[in-house]
Amino acid sequence: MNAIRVLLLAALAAGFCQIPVAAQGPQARMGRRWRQGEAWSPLDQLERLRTMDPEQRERLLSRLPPPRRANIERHLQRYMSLTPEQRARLWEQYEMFRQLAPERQQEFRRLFVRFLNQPPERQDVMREEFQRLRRMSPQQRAARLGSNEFHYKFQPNERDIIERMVELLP
Amino acid sequence: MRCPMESGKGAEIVLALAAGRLEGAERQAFEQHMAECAACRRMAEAQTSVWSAMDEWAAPAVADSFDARLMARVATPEPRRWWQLGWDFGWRPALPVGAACLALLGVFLLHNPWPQVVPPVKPVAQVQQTVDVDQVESTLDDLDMLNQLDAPASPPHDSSAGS
Repeated sequence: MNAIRVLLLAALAAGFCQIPVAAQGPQARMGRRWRQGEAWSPLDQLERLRTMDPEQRERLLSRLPPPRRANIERHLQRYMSLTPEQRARLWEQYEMFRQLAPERQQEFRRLFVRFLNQPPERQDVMREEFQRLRRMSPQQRAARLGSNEFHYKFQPNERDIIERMVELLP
Repeated sequence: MRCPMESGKGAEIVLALAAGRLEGAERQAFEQHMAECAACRRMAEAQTSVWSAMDEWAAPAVADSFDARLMARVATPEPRRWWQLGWDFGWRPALPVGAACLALLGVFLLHNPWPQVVPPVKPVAQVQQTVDVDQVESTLDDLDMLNQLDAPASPPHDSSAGS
């Protein structure tokens, strides 16, 4: 019985050691990188900004031009308002996005600007379609993109945005 | 007869002649050749004189006390040189002592491993472990973009995001 318990504990310890880096969260990774003398990733830096005391953050942001500072503060506020689960999901999305080559990241940002230029009600429909396509298998996605329903539901410009976005970030 | 000096057998034949081993037709042929060949003749004469001298030499008689003196000298230990002092112990007792020393050295090294060469740690100041505001701004923009696209319900439409 004791042997089984020891084996189970060893398996648990081994499993704990094998936890993927992405699942450890930026703070754990940041601490590990700090100890190992490695550079902080963008998410590490963001977590540092999020967790630093307000006076320190104020000092850091005070050197920026007001529009930039306002932009950062607004986005940071929105980021801080997320629940830990939402933040973890966002980190996953971001890690996937960071895997893209810089030029493909830039292309995705341009597509997003085009997306934002659509009327709000069309943005909702497009977002819903984008999320739906991402949940599909590659075969289902290809079938959906070639379907009549997809063609009738979206304008050519909208179809182009959705298709290219889902191609970059499937 | 061909000249033995030219055929390379000169020494062999001359020695055999001087020792009295050359006989019969061979001796006769060589003696005929020596009558005509001055070189072989001189060599044979020289060799014969050596042999004659050796025959005439008488070895001095060994004294009766030679054996006794020799045995006495063998029995007397030779005095040691300075570099031979201190090496009169046997190797047999040294073997277990050496093995024990090696075992102790092994245990010592096991507990005090050889100091390893540690790669120099990069100074913290040289790597990016500070908050780069530009980088954070870009990250926040990207996160906001992804959050808007991933939002389940109607999110607030922020036209400034991603710009």
